[in-house]
Amino acid sequence: MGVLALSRLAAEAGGSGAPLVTLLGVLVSTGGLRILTKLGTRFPRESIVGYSTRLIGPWCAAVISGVMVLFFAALTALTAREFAEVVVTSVLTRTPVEVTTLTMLLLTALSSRANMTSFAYAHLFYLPFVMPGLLIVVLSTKNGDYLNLLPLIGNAPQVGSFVVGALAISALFQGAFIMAFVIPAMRQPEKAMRSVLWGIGVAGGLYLLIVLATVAVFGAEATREFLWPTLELARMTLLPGEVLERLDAAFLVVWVTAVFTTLYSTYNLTLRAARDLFRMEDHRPFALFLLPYIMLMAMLPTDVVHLYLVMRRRSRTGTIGLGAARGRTDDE
Amino acid sequence: MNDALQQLQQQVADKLFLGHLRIIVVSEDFARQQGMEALSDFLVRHPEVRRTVWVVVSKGSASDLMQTAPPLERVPTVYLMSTLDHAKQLGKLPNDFFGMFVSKVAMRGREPILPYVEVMQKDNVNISGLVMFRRYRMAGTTARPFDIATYMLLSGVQPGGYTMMVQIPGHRETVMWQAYLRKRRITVRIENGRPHFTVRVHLDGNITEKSSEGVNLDDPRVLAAIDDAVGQKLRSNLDAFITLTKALHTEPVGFGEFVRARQPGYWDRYVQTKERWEALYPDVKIDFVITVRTHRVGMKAV
Repeated sequence: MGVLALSRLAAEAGGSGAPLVTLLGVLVSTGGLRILTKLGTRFPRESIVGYSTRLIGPWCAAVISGVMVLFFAALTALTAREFAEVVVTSVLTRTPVEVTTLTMLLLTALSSRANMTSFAYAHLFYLPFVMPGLLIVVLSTKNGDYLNLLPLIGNAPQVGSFVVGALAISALFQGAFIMAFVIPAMRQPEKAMRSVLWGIGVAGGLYLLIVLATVAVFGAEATREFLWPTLELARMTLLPGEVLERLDAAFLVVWVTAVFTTLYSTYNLTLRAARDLFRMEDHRPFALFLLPYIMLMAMLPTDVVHLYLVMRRRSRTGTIGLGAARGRTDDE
Repeated sequence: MNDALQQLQQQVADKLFLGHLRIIVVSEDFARQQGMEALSDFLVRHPEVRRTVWVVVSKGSASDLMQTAPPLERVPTVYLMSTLDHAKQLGKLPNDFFGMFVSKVAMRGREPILPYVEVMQKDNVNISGLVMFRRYRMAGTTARPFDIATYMLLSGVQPGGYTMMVQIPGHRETVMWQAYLRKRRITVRIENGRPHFTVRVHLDGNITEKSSEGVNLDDPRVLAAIDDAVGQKLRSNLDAFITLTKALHTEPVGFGEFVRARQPGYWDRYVQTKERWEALYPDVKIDFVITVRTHRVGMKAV
């Protein structure tokens, strides 16, 4: 689930302790990614599919890689569908959801034919687009009340719900698994750890700020009631001098780029995992081949409630699955 | 609500667009009997409606209020809207737009308020107070004009804009005293199993008018006496406001939020829900520590 539902997840788990839940989630992901990166730097010329064959044997590795392909294909499909649902609910109310989903997937599929260098540059290019997100956070603090953030651990805190919430938030970083395929393409793989920490620092920091702002403005109770609290935050926020009386349109424009980079990563992940699994030289043939299947998967959830149910299940299996895989590969 | 809009759509040619909706008027009867629940739900669900839309409660029917405008104003709605916007800028009305209502109604230790507006004679409107709620249903209105200022002081809303008339102690003369900055700090501790609040309130203000030449403002003792008189008046206003809200079993200031945030152990054990907090509220003790400072006396020396 993306950044739009982020604060809802956090507030459901921790009440006014939502920022703490988010921080825990970021720390969990950092831990997982560190293991992954360490492993990657140990085998700097191979992707995860390659070295897992050497570590746990060809059969085990093939099964795990196959599951990984399916898993990230599902992640891509659900992200695209969520994007489409938001767009259809909030701005393009008369556009069929299939059209928005397909447009985004097609765009991703076509750009996924590029090589790793272009992939990296595309992400670099979109990096400054986090600034408007920061702007909304800064401007919205005017309506905020620090009282809404107290007590820091939430009222009647429960360890169980904190852990579930933190894991759900760490699942938002599953796309960062792309590191396992980026490292072999790096010129200096030994610098991978540094870039991973930077990346998660920026993304996690922004997530934390968004949760802080949302809960400070709405209070934990109201944050739970919104389907997309981050979008609500943009709707509440005025540009000073009332130049723009609502920032949601501006926010959605920026958010499209965020969704695109996410899809771009997870789609590439799927393609490259499939390439290595079938021992092919090039990932490009898969780009269009997989598209109909992913589109089909995106259309499977019947409605928006069902979609979030499926996403929640998927992210849970993912956290457990990826966690187990990391643990296993690290042991051996 | 949606049904009403569908009916309306049947009667107009163009597609209704709610993105430019700026003010929603609800009659007092509706707010008391139906409550705001269904309306609020519709507005939150609807993608076009702004969160910054004003929702006001009218004394009497809503349609009367919407048609009211001075002859020079072309669009009645714009007149109504600018009345509210300007009142907000002048510090005479808290910035409680619809989004705030949604947040506060969900909070466990606080109730929402909305502006209470009535039609005066001669085609103009008057913001006559605040409507207080219990959850989505109207519980009552503030009783006196100054209660808006008291509410804003207790909620720490800036800027200060209200003027009060005070009699200078020991003299017959009165002065008009206008606040420009409000400060409040609320602390809570638990005493004998009940929350006990201490509210430190500070007002900065100026003297804007003096009733006669009989007293000289050029005297620090007179200014200090005025500060005292303002403080006393403030205290009686604050007490009256608290008594009113206690009688209505509604809690617009958010003392409960302070308990929830600052004394979570107590809250989790004894309160937890809004209903229980409102049952407890009439029994809590609230003390005021008031300081007032007159900063300027205008462009006249005496």
